[in-house]
Amino acid sequence: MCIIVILSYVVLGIYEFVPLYKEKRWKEFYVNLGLSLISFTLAFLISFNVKIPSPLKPIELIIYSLFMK
Amino acid sequence: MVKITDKEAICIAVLFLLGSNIVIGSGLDVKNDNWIAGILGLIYFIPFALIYARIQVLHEGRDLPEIAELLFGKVFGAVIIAIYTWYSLHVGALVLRNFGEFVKITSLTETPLIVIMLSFSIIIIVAARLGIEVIGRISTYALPVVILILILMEVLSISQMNFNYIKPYFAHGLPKIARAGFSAFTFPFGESVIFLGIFYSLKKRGSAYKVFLTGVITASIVLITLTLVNTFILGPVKDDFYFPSYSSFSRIQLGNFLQRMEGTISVSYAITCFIKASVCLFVTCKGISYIFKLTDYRFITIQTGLVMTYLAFILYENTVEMENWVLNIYDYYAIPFQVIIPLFIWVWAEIKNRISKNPKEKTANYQSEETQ
Amino acid sequence: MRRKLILFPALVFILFTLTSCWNYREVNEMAIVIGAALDKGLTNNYMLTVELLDVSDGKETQVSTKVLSIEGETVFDAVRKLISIGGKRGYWGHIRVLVISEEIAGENITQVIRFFRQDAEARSDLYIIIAKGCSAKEILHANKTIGRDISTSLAQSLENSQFLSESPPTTLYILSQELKSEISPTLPVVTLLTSEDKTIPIISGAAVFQKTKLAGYLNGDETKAMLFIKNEIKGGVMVTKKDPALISLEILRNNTKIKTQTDGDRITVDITVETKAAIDEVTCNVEFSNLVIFDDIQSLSEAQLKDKLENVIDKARNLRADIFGFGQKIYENDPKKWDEIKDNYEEEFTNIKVNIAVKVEIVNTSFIYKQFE
Repeated sequence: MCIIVILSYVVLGIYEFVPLYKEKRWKEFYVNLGLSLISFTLAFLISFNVKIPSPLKPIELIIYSLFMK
Repeated sequence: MVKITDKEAICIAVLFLLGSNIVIGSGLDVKNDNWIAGILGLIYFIPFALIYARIQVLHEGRDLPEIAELLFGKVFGAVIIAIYTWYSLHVGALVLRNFGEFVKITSLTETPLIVIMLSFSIIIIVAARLGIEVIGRISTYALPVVILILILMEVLSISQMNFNYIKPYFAHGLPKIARAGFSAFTFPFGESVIFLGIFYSLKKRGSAYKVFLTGVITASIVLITLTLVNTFILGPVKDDFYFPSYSSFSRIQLGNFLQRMEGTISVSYAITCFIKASVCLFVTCKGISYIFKLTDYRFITIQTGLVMTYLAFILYENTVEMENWVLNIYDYYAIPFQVIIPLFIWVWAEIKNRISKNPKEKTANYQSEETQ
Repeated sequence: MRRKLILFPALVFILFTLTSCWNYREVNEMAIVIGAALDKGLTNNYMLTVELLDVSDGKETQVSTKVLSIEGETVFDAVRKLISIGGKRGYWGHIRVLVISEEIAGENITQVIRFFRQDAEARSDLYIIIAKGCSAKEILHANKTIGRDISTSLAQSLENSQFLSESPPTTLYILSQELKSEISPTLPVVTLLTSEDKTIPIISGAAVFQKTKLAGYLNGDETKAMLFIKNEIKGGVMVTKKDPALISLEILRNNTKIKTQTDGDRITVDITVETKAAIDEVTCNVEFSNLVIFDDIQSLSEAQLKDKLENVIDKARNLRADIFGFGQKIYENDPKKWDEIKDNYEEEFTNIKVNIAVKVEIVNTSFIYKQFE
């Protein structure tokens, strides 16, 4: 599973980053790099069946404490 | 600068509002009084539609990030942009998840959810990358298909309807129905606050009012009809299902040959969810690129789309959590995004507008000269 | 060039991943379940009996039916345990009938139908039948009459029951709607008829439920009267006695209206039955040309139908099961009153005042104007 993830991210990386690098659009390059790092981490964790805590849980807790005692 | 016509914008608005609501039905349920709740939701929403449109009209040609920065300056503006970027990312993920769950439960039971959502997100990413003009054009072709399918299914299911199920009216008492109306306000009507991120590209000046009102009213007619049809067909068991309209159209039976037609409705589910998710992705990408001052949002659509998909995957552990979120929590969660911040922006925009009245008068004169 | 280099692996990747064959199942790999029967198990909770369509491939595809039984802790458990005897996994998308034994129905019917409601594969338009006087398993093991298998002929006879109106064709979704509203459900009944050395399943009458528990049975005639009140009559025969003749009326159209009135503590239900019928058979000479006699037939059949309706209402009152949905009507018209009486409705149901008005209109006398002398 994780091999597929890594492979597809390499392909995506070639497709996305090479033109940005050639055109020297560094801002786009770095923002995109940051986003792909986030998405790659998530994909990698999901491929290993790691339970990622849902971002909704804290929101749920706040709402419960505010509106429903 | 890409521009969309009013017609395209209305089509986007209708499909956006239908998206995922026709799949999972509206939020808090008051059984057979749900249609009243729908009408109430529309009534609550109309002032807000006018407010959203007013914000847009006051800042012709600017999208939400630009408006926020113009009104609140760099730092505080960035906070508001970040909030709305998160909100549209989240709504997009919710839509993806709803559709993914629908496909997984009804047909591809053994396919992993992430695979279904990834395949769906491919076209969403493509659409968002191609921009709002393309989404608009798809919508003009897709809306008639969606409406036709819905009308066809509704007509075919007339023989299965029991009109007595709508009685008694107001059985749940007005306070509860009014509360359910608020639920209908937040989902789907209030989600149209995201349109502030796309309606900067309207061709005509000042048509935001028309687009917002026509879109919302058309969508609400479709939704309320669908709610009524579901009530007529399913009656007391309506709120037992995760996907009520799918369940009610599965009852269609005309003779021995025209039956088991519920697969057809999945087409309109797919279309509406696709439009909604791609609009959300588009707005998210716009927001991110504005925060980081990128010249073009296109470079980050793929990664943002992937993040949205993974987010959709990790949002809930199962369908029960999804239903609990939609029924109990989303209403409260949506209040700041749909009510408080837009009100704040609107008031501030009006004040700023009054203060700098002179240039505004100039443009007004300019406009009136134009019309003459 | 670079574009092509990326495009090619992407296309190959798509070729293999988007074939949508993740969980494909070939038809010869599945055992198509067309009917199921549920009994109490001997060693475990439930005994599930299924009728399978077995598709075997060869020169010509052949279809045969098999009946298998297995016990399980829950229904779904038994469903999956079928693999251990049948070898193939069942496909439940085509199931037509579910036969439930008296024993299970007497305890609580919902314990077994929940699976069929919840599972995505089974469809909600399957017929639920109660086996009376024999185990549900025996029904599926009975001798075939016409057709390929028992389940289809049971389903067909329920589909065509609108021309007979002696059993309520209750599907799973009607049952779940009735269980969720204020109507006591009625299900069709199947019994075994032994003639010569064959046992044949026949469908006749209705099983009356008190909420979820089997309370009693109605025979064919009573079922017809019940269907009259529920406005579910689409056809059927109404026999009128006019001494010495028996006159068969074919029901062409029927419209029943139920109105409820609440006046203080007193609840009144007005039933208006309007039937259009045609005379299709008389057992001895009746002069149709005599309009007095014709009117006589009409008023006689009205009186006799009214008798039958009153009879079945009495019977339902004895069983304390509101099979006509009067409670639902009260709820629809006066939800406040309903809130008052709903806890004690079983008692209240026996005290409701029922007014019946029957109007039978004989539209024609079919093909013949004058009879034999």
